Amino acid sequence: MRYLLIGNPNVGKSSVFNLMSKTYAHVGNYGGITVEKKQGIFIHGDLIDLPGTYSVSPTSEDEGIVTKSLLTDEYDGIINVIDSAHLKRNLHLTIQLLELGKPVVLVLNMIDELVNSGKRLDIVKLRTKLKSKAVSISARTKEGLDDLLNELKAVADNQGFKLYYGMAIEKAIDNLIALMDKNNNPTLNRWAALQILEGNKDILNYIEVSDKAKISLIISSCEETVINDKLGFSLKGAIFNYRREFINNLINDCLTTVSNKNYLKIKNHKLDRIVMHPFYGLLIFFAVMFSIYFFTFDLLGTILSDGIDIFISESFSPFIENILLFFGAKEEGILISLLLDGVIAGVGGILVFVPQIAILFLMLAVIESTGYMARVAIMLDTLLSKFGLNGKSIIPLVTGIGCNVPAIMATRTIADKKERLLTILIIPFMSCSARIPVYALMATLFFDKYKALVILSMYIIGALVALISAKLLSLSIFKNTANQFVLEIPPYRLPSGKNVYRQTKLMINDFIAKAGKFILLGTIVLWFLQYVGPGGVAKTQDTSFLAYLGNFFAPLFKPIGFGAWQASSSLIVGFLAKELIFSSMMVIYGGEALVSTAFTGLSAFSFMVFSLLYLPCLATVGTIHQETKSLRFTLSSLLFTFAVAYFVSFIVYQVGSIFI
Amino acid sequence: MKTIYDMNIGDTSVIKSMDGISRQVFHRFLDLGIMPCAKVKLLNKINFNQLFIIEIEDVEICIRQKDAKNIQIGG
Ligand SMILES: Nc1nc2c(ncn2[C@@H]2O[C@H](COP(=O)(O)OP(=O)(O)O)[C@@H](O)[C@H]2O)c(=O)[nH]1
Repeated sequence: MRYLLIGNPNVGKSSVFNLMSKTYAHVGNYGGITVEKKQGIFIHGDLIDLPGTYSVSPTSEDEGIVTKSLLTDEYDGIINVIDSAHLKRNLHLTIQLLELGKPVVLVLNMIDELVNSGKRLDIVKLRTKLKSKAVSISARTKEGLDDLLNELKAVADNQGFKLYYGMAIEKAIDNLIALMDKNNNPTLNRWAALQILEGNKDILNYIEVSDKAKISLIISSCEETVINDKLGFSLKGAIFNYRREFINNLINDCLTTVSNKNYLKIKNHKLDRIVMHPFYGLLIFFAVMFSIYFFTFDLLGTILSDGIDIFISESFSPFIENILLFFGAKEEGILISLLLDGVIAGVGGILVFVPQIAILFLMLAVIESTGYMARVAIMLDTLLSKFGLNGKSIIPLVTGIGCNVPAIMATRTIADKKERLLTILIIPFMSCSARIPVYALMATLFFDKYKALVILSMYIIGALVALISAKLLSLSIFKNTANQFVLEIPPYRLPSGKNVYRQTKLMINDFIAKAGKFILLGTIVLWFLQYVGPGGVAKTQDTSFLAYLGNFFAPLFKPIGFGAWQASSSLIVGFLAKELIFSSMMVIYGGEALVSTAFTGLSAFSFMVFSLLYLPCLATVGTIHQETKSLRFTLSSLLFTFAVAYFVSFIVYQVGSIFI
Repeated sequence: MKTIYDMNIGDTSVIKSMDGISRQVFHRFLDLGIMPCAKVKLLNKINFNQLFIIEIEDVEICIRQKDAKNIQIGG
């Protein structure tokens, strides 16, 4: 059995997914669109988790994926996760899914919240009215899980749920169906016709319609009738109204109020007044960001990282060396050099940072799941709109501190195209976790006393550069954004340990997988470029290929403080993955001590700034391309970040030189 | 005509019409439950009246001032 998991945002879909499935994986690339589509296995088959959506017809890119999956994926049934406490709104999507004619199982989640608010749901009645399987569960208390698994053993045929949309719309439906392939399933044709009337343009990519010109005629004449007859303010509005009437009747029949309780809410409102206060709210936001930072870098993370470092350099590396020597490898020979100086130094150097990164991801997952991020988006909307952005931009921007790749994917929730592209363009300036190694190195060597402060300054510089460029771009290339913002505020919830754990684990796995592939490959290529040169095995470092490459670019970097080939080579390699700037410096310079003689405090700072800003890593570039599907935009974004990085480092170095 | 913009915090009313809201935003609003005949309560105004937090059907939604001015209420 293979099921698609569909539901409104924030209904507990991920929780249900995590509850049911033992294993999970990112399904990264999907037919040209990178989708955050997760796949999991549960006892009766596969689960495919789709992004949350209010309706099948897309208003943002995130939602277009659902139409595509519904029509092109292979699946046996649909699991529709519903927030029982907000049935009125959730059921609009449910109706659209039922109309498709595929087997549907309704999962009425959050039943604990419904009961707590003093209501009772008659699930048997609901089942009959919707002619569909339905189970009430709570992903939090696990109540109802067995029932759900039981229902998923086998699919039941869709019983043919059909809603009557009134004369005018029904006529338009018939006219549209007449243009479709008669061999199609009639239910599918009716569904497609309704979707077209609702304004779902994506449908035409998947369903053959003979006379496209006629479609707009049918739509506009139907819309005219609808508006004249006052059935709605638009065609979609009228369809919506018919569904609403049905839903209201359904709820009257199935939902009963047992007692009136809403004390919980009042507490939330009081909290919200403070959290979204223009002054205190901002203070809280900075405090939260600062504590994340503090935990990650100062407290726990550093201790764990140091532990791993000591283990690798004092136990693991000598251990491998001894084994190799035992098996007859030559001391100072090529094999030992490749493994110890290349692979272990490179990959090991990155693994050291896994604890810090894990803590960072964990904390981001926690604040995300409490509902706090939505409040931040609201609080900052007015400010961000002055920069041509949108309150919703804050979520990708904060995610960018963890990793730029999911951050760029997270921009999908921004409905306006221009605002979305603008956000994508500035995300690479957010200092992602892969840049931590090089900061840590430079800050320890040159700014020991002010280490934390100097690293913090990188995050601040990154954020400032992001905002200033957004402002400049919004005044020039990205003029006239839709300037639209509407956001549902989820109730505060305690984060569930399991969800947070899963999400963090997924992120760390991604990170390590990347470290495994890109970084292993990178370190080997790097080692090779350094080991050989135009004249065979390089006798000294400066006759290697890497030195030639570095020397070629070095003059470019002289005005910003680091004209040595070693520095420019590290930056070239760092394009593969920013972690590699650190690893390659360790390899090229041959240890920390030698790095410390090659830079001054000022040039080290300039180097840090440049590493922060200069280019998004290869994985990020790939994501930008997949998300925008524009080579021109992707290349422009590379050029843009490089130019900005050069400019800022130039100012830092040249102005700094005057004072020092 | 009165709009959400004119409501006081804590007031409850019913949405009469949504004239002046663009089609795209209108459809977005429908998905969220902001629609004619819906009962609306103003919970808060924040960022110096730039944003309006309303409650509709037990869901809290944040809208911008410009949209609040375009949602007519009465009753
Ligand atoms: N009380 C309660 N909370 C739940 C339930 N299911 C999920 N949640 C919480 O609702 C929030 C949103 O859940 P999530 O799975 O992230 O929703 P998604 O956005 O639909 O994937 C999280 O804080 C969950 O812990 C439930 O059945 N009862």
